[in-house]
Amino acid sequence: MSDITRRCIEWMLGVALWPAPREYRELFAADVRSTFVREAFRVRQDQGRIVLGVYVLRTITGFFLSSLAQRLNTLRHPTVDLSGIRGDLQVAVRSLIRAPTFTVAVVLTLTVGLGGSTAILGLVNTVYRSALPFENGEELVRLRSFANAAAGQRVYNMSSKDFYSIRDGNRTFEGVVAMDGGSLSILGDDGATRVSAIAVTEGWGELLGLRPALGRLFSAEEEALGADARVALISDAVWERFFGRDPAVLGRPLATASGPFSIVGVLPPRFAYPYEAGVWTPGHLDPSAWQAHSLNVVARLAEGMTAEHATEDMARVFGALKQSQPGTTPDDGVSVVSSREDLIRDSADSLRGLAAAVISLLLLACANVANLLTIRLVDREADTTLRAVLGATKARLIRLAVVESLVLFVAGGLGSILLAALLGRWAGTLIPDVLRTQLDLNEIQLEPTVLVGAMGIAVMAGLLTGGVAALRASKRDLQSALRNQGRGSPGRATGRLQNLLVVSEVSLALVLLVGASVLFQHFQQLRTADLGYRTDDRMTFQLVVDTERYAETGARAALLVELEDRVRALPQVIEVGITSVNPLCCGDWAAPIRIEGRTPPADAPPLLIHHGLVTSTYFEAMAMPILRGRNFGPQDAPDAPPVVIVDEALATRFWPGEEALGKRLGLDREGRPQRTVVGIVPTTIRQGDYTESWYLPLSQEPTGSSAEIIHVMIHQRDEGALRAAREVVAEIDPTLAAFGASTLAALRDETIGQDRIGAILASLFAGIGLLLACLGLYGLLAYRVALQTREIGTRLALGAQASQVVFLIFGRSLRLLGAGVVVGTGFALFLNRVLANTVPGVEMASLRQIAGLILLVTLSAMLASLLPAMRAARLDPARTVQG
Amino acid sequence: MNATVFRLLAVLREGPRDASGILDRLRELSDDEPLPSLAGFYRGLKRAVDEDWIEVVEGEAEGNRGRPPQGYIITPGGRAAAETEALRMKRLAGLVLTTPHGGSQSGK
Repeated sequence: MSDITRRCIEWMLGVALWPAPREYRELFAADVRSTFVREAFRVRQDQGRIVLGVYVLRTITGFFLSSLAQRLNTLRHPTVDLSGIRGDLQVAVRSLIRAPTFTVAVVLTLTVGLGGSTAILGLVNTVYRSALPFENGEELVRLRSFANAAAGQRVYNMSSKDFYSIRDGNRTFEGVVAMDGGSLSILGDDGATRVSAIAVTEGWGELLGLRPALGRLFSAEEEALGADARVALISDAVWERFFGRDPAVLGRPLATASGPFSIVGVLPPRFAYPYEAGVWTPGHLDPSAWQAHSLNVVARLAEGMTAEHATEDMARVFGALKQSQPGTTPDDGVSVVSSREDLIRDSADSLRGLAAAVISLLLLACANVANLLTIRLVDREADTTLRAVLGATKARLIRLAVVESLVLFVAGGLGSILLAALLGRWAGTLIPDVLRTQLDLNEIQLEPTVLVGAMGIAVMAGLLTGGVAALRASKRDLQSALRNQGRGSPGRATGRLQNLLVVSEVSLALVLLVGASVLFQHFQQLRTADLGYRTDDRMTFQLVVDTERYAETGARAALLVELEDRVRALPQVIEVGITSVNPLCCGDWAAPIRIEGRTPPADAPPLLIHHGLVTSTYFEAMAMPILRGRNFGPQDAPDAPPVVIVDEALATRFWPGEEALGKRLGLDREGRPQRTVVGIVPTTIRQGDYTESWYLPLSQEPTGSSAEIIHVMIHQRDEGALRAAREVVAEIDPTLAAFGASTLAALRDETIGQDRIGAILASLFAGIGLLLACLGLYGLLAYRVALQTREIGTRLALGAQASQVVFLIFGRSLRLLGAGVVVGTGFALFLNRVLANTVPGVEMASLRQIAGLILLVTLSAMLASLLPAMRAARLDPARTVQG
Repeated sequence: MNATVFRLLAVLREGPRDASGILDRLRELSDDEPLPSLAGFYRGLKRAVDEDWIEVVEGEAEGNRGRPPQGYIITPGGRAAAETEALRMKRLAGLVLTTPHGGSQSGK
């Protein structure tokens, strides 16, 4: 038999014997190998190769099955094998089963700490690393105008003038394009459907690196013609919905309320940038227009350029513009952010805050577990010293401790992976809808790296904490350890570290509790606040009024009057009003105003307020009473003197202590008239950044102004109102597309949805923080009591009452607690200030709130101290003194 | 005690042997009876070691790959167990091999 054959057989035999109990292998493995080889040789000689092959196969199989059978037998009748890692595992597992409270506490802490962190970090990772919808998206930047205001910097879209100045004057971009958001009513088989439509400037598709799934991008000639080219790119969703994915869609007309467009291309699936667009057309902008700020401007950095270079360059370009053409822009500069930051900007701060909070809790959880492990080592000191006396080496003792902590951390790690997978689904609901669309995110991706990282942390932490704790234990003199059990104190450094840990945990718990409390209070206020209008039995939908179709003088006004009258006449409707801006959804409009008779300083920032156009019945439909003055009426015709209704906030701000009725103010634009205040309404709580509001009559706004999308607000008698109203709209004009229907109550819930989630998360973190603090305090006190049983026993033997011992323990707890409360209160007030400044509507916590939370932390700490205190009080003085 | 273990003890009663020696002797004594498989053979050896019927000894000569060959020797307990089993099987055999009325079969 060749050497290779023999080695193969031996190898296979080794595999077959692997499941067998160690005792069997130690006794027979070598003998089996040599006998098998000899027998195989004999079979080969006597009966040939084929029979040898059969013999080898049969024998290997026989040994494998025999090994399994013996292993099973061992499991049914286990014998403790105390040598080797396997024995250590058995000892560790049995030992942990005998201490269920400790085991559950540690594994739960790790599961929650690691699992929660993994899920939340998975969320952050998903958002920050998901693919952008552009080629080489990391080179794209978003440009926005900004103005410095007293309340801080405001950023907003650009004007055409600014866009062209940047496009022609920059030195850092490969190209700059602009997108103007709007909408189209697509006429399909089931009526008109409103779709977000974007007008784009030259080179848009090439700059973004788009590759149509069908057809092509716009040609240079089409881009030069702008809207007159009557060509369009459509999204995959529009292709599916209106053309059934017809491969011959190119060249077919896209029928819209403002005329047909010829389809030249279909963009890739899931591309809907920006504003969930469905149609893109070439646009043509007026280079001199500087007042309207509606352009979404994107640029691609030239090779070697960074966002910082671009920022400096924009300062140069903008400065030159302001100098050469003063008064042509109210802006103070141009901000440059990466396209990713732009897409996630509304969520970036919360994501970062979330990540920081989670990492802090994770560190605390690990520190707490390290503390609990140290306590366990002290608790088991008798057991450890006994093993040492019976012959266990230091290496073995350290190994036992390391294996035990490793088992705990691996169990916690596995639990954390399971929890992360479960939490991953829930955490996905935290992804804002706009991100879900823009970045095509539907769920948290728990990447293998994140999971492996979590397990890696678990294993490393287990080895480290177990090793460190065991090393300390192994250094103790065994003889004196046996003699001096219960008569000790932690080392100075260790003691200080432990005190610091507990004080930090108490402070953090208080900070988190105050944060959660104010956020929850804010959320409750939002939920129950008087908005200044009613949302019950109110519903709304939107309409796109094509300004070209209703370009004739008075046509638009007539449309709105007919719409209101016919909807109001419906039996399901109590009242109806129309507005340009819904207070609970779909963006806000702001206008810079100037007050008659007041000239602000040249460098003063613009006075921006909420700007709304309404019909006279809007206030009635929304249950907003006219507090003083009058509502709009028939006398406020297009050619009548311009009037305005303002809210109390505006009246108080600009005319404090005076009557605002009769005062005059107007849009801070050249040629816009001053308007007379004819009515005062309540201040409303609405989305957007502006507290003060003014309302202009829709009848007095010229055609083609900002009211292209209108919101119909209905105070309904029953739920059939929406369907009936839609039918009225279709009867008036089949090209009018009603969309975005919802009750105001649902919109309100949606608006405060993110605040609700924030409040829930903050409360969750606060609860976990408090739990960790209590665990830490319990652990520390239990440890100290265990170390000092002899001292306590002596006190009891000398006549101290059990209650005095309890007070002694509580006294220690109170000292740590006091330090934690003092530090925590300071940080909590600081955090509160930050929240109040950054989250609109959040207020500072009251003294009563803070006192209540301190009481909660104190009671929790007292509860955590109770167990060690009672254990100390129940010590048998005789036994502890004798040792 | 199963047949494999009994046969092992029977062979080792003759003197200590290594595993191959036991197998060779079993072949000689088999009378075309099938031998146990190698896995079964070692299971029997293990059983006998566990029951203290045989002992494992290491030989002095150099064996395979420099390891001294492993041998097996029957213990006094093993001898006694083998003899007890033999007597038991003889009694059982007698139940089958004697005539129904107690006399022994004789040729006529």
